[in-house]
Amino acid sequence: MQLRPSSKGVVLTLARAEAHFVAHVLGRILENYESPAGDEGFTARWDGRDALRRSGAAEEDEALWMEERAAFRGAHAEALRSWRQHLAGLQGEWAEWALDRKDIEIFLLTANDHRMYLAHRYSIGEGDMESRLEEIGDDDRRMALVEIHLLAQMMEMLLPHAPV
Amino acid sequence: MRPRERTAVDPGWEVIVWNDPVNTMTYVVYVFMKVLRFDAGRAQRHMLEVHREGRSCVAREGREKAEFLQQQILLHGLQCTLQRGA
Repeated sequence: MQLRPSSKGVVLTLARAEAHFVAHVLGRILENYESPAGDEGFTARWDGRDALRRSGAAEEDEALWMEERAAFRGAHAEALRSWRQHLAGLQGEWAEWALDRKDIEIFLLTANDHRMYLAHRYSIGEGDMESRLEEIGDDDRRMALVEIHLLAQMMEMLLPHAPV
Repeated sequence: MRPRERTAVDPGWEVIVWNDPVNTMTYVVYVFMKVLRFDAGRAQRHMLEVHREGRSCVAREGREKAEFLQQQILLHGLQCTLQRGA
């Protein structure tokens, strides 16, 4: 995967396999936004309700927060669908993926949101993050770590080009 | 003239960001710059405090502003709570 700056943002060049894998991850993000799997305890940690409760937020504030979270996800879902369609449909050996500055911001937010979802769902800790993937016995946990590391790598490439 | 009455200074609410094993250092700096409008050096110092000490107080505000900042930080995926200032 390579990146070059453009006048509007950046252009990523991906090998076909990379493009299809990123498309797969984008699909997983959309699935989790529509119907997050997992128990109440982990989703409350992921979506921030746990932090609000520990900060003394009122019940109505928590309800407003959940509406805001839903609006946040909904606002980004269209971009995720469009990117997934673009990357999944590529036939050549190499794919170009143009992201303007607003797209970069959306990608950073949604990619990190998904990394946190996976971390909470699979209880990923410091030790897991530093483990070699072949040391992770459980297939789902290993796949979660692959996604966490891949998205982190892409984020590190994009962060210098993100608007602040 | 009566002596001026001493009024208690409201200590406000502290916005605390907590360490976690998944968010990258670069991303935490980005969030501090974007949400809190810190310059790069200040964002870096608070990120390192989170990393080394496990937490950093990034703002002290009235309840409403503190809640707003907490929600923005949570939307960016960092662990963030509020506590009454000392």
